[in-house]
Amino acid sequence: MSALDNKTLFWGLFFVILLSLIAVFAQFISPYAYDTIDADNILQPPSAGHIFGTDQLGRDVLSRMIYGTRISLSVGFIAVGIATFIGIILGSMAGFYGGFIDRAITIFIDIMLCFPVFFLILAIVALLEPNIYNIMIVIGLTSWMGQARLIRAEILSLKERDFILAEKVLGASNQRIIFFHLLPNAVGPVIVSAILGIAGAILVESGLSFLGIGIQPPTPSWGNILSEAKSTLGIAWWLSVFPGLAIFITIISYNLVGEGLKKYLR
Amino acid sequence: MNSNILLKASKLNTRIFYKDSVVNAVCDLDLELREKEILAIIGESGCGKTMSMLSLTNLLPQSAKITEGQILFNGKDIEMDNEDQLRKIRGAQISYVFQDATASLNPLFSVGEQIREMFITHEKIPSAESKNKVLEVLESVNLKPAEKYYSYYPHQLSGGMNQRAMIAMAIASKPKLLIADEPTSSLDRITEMQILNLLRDLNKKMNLSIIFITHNISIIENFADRIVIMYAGRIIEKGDAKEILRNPKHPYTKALLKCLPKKENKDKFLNTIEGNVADLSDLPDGCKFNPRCPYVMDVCLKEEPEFKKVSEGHFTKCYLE
Repeated sequence: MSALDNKTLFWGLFFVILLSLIAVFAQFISPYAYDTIDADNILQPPSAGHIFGTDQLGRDVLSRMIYGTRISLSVGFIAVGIATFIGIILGSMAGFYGGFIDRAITIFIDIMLCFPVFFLILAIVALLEPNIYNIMIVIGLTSWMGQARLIRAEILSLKERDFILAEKVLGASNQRIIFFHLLPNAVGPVIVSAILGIAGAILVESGLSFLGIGIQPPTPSWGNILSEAKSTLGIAWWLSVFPGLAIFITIISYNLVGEGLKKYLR
Repeated sequence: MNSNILLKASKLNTRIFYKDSVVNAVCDLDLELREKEILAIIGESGCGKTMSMLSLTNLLPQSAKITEGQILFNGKDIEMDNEDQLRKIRGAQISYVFQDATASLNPLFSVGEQIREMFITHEKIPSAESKNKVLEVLESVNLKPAEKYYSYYPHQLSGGMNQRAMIAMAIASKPKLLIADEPTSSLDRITEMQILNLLRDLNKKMNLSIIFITHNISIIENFADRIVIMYAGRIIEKGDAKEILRNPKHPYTKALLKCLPKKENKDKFLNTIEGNVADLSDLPDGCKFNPRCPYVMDVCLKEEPEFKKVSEGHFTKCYLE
């Protein structure tokens, strides 16, 4: 079966690639700058000049959303990158060495899982300056537990396989066994879970921005566009519907890619 | 044969700890192996063959531990706690080949890549040269044309070819000793003979000593120089291969030989040894074979026999004359 026969994967990939292209070429495709204020055209409904309408400062919603894509995707990718990195290191240590190290790391994971993550992030961001880098790091530092558990479980089962014993027998070092033999064999499920994690991270970022402690205006993110939209919800539907839709499509397409890959890798 | 002794294990004891119980997987094992010798270790499943071999380079699972004993390899003591030293010995001087070669190869890398890893790990040879070395090794195990097999993945090869690849990997850094743990048990008879011939060839050409673990007594007559019979973690008979096969002394060895299918018995059921394999956690007093032994005497129930010389180079642990 080729990857494209898999409809889930195909449509997921289609939207993910489309969104990534939008993010990369934001300054070329957005019709206006994201922060140009036009006082004569505030709260205009969608029209030929402003396809998605304008907000209460007269800024073009489409342009702001296109730039918002960039923010959301980069937060998603980098946060998940950090989470996966930590997950790989801690998970493979726990799985491979076992014993005390395993117990310590597992307990640490359990402790981290006890926190309601969103409130933990809220608390940390409230202490730090809420800029995009801090958001990425904080989301990354609070979402690695799933990855670590997954990798630990994979390594636990893989390290009992004969070829790992064969490697040990033939004199390979532990590091070599972990990085050259165990992790490459565990990469499938890890990628799937990372892609699903990107959707989660984007959602967390939107939520934080919506609450006003994520990405700070005037930098646009889908979350803070929504946040500004809530005061005019009754009179300007386009301000909330389009960014909401963007979040919806992004999350769903990353989930589709994740699920599709899961099926494909089997 | 008066050549040098390559490996000497004395009073080797390996115990498995499980919850509160302790199992003596290997008990007072004394083993000698000369250079260029092929030694076969024979015994039923669970009699400690694999455990004793894994003990040699301390590759035991976490629950098992060497509690006593000394291992001299090539005149030097193998320190069981010195992981660095052990790693240099494993693969470079003592290599292993296991039963299921297909499972022993990493499915993600081609056979050649995996053999090349041996050179990278042990000899620090730059990758350009190492490819030629890998091709040489592949040729030496009769995987020809080597260039073609280099890029094959384990799932593209048959069990026998994978076993050859495994052997290639094991002999890549020219070890002195190859421990083959039932390398042919999952192969058909023809492939089995080919692998045995290959091992014999390597034994002659590379001066490779081989410890060959098997429970198939019929294949070793023309293969092994010496035989060790194990039962319940203990060596119960050892000596020259031909001598033991012709003149077995221990009832267990006799029983094993009787279990072989023979032409003249073709209408009868195969013989089996009465009773079950010894339960290592619940061993009888005295000789460990006594519950199954047809010639059991009073003394067998009380005291475990010591090695007794039968003839030159043939020892057995049995009170029977």
